[in-house]
Amino acid sequence: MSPLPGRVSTVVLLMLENRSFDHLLGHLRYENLMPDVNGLDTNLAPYENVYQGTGYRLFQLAPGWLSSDIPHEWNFVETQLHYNPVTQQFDMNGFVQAYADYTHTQPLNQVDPMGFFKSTDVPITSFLAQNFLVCDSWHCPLPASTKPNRTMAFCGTSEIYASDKTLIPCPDLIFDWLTKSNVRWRVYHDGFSYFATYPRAWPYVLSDNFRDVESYFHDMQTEPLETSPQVIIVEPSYYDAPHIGPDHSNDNHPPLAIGWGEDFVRRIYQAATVNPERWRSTVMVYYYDEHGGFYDHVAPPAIPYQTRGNPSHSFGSLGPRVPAIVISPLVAAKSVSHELFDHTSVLQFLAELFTPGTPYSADVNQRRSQNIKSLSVVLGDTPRVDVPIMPTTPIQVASELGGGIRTRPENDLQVAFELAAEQLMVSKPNEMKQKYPDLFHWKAVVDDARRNS
Amino acid sequence: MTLYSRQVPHVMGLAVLFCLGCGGPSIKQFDIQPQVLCEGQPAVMHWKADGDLAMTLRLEPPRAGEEECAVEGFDTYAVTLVAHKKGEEALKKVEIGQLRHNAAEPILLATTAVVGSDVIANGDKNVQLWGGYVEVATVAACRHRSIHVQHDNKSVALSPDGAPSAALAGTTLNGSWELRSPLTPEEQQTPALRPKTLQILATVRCRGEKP
Repeated sequence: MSPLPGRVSTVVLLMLENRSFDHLLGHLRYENLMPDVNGLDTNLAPYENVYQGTGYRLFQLAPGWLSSDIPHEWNFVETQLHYNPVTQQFDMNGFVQAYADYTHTQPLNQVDPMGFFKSTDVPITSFLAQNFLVCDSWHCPLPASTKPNRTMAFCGTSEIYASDKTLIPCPDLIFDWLTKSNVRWRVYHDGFSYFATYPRAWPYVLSDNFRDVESYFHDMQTEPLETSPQVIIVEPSYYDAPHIGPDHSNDNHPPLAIGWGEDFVRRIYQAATVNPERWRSTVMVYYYDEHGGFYDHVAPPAIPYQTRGNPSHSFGSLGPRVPAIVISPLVAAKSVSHELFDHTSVLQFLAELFTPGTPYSADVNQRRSQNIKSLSVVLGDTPRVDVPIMPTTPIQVASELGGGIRTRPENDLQVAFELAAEQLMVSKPNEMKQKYPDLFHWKAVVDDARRNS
Repeated sequence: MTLYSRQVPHVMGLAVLFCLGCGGPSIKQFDIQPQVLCEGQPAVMHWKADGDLAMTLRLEPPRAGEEECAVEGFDTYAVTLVAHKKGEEALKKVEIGQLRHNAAEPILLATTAVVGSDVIANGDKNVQLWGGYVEVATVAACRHRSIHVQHDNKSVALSPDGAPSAALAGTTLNGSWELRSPLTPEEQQTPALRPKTLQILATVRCRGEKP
């Protein structure tokens, strides 16, 4: 195998929100599209969840809006994993229980967390899975919600264990490491960046390294490989972030309809492949921050982690599996990796690529010693010459105009997003007017709405 | 406020108890009691919602069940309340079920302990779903296991061939159940092989309904 730096020039990271592996990719086995993938069997009986004397089966979910978010904070995840003292393992039997506790409803038959999509409902994700490499043992690092898992992904460690209302501490962001390692990098964001919830990231968020996603395709098409970014993070428009105007949330966070995210992923793939020279040595990772409360049938391995903040929290295992697809000429079509990965596998990979012989950090190296592999293990030596053509079939999705103008934040993460936006608009007004002019429109509208509510 | 529904089955009367609706688009409460209905039984809806309201009623696909212990005689409807205002939408779904004559309903419980060489599963059949008017007619073991059942101060030993027993006839379906089944030697030795659930099948009838 030739050295990694000779094979890979560009890494593209696309992390969406809150879907489990079985929910989004279980159909690969269910429909016999990729029978080697550890997805859903056609006999759905073994996946039945118990709640108050009744069994709840998986069912084909319609790709429209859900009636609410699905519980996925750490205490609900504990219920979902359900440690059974008889079998002495997690039996993944508490997803309906958690949903009933969270929504205060008494389900009878079809419960949203037990829904899964067929290939026709997620045509873009299914296309990418079938044309590149599926990682069917990729877990979110912690059995918890968005903020701790994204922090593990982009800091390599976490001081927090819940998605509360506060901004997020992170002593060493991925941008610090990339800058220190002389790696060219850029973030393309669709709307307000998630990284704004890390005060340490504010100088970066307001810098030229952060660009609107609208310029992504053109940049990929025209920038020479020698000067263009080596690491690119693409951010969707977050459901929980403040936004306004024609911008539609497309991060796939429930209760969003899945179509917006599918279309966004299609655009990002088209941009990643537009320049044949760059594409030949590109590795794009399309993955999800956490399972979002949706059912997955694989019990997470018992890899413990103690968060570093005060108070700290001890987790006994990884979180549930999430969808993860490696999109690159360096992987074969319809291929699958059963190796154990989590989000820190990407950080291991970046260190192998850009600082060979020097680990990303002691924390990430600790994950490696716990048998979590580097993403580099899936990459082949010789790039494929074909570029799979993305389906251009229109995706139907019901739209909700004005949905982003919330009278009040609906959850703690939305509070944290608004806190970041408001503090930045006060402390860095000129930079924010340049970078996020739409937020000033949003602020005026919500202030007006809240005064009148 | 606009309220409409489609094709309410004649066996279900849906009555409005009260509605508080004014201002923003939200649904603070939406419930239907009881959720499991016998033929001809009325249900009462409560909601507290703001916005223009609509309601839809959709027959869901049949509940799935294990082949030898299938759910029978049970239809599920999804009733969804939708509130609209200023381009925003809020919705909340409640499922209601209707029992037909000679319905069969599984009792599925997570295993909770091993006592001696037996595995035990215990828990409640949801009292919020299953009103006291639904009675057990017969019970039978599922999955080819011998199961000893305790419920409502009665008990019965069920054979693994699935033969039904009327020993619990007349007890209410809801409330506490305990299922106990002997472990095989392999299950005793290897925890991962032990069942994560135990299941029996009850045939049920509505109180006053002729067998």
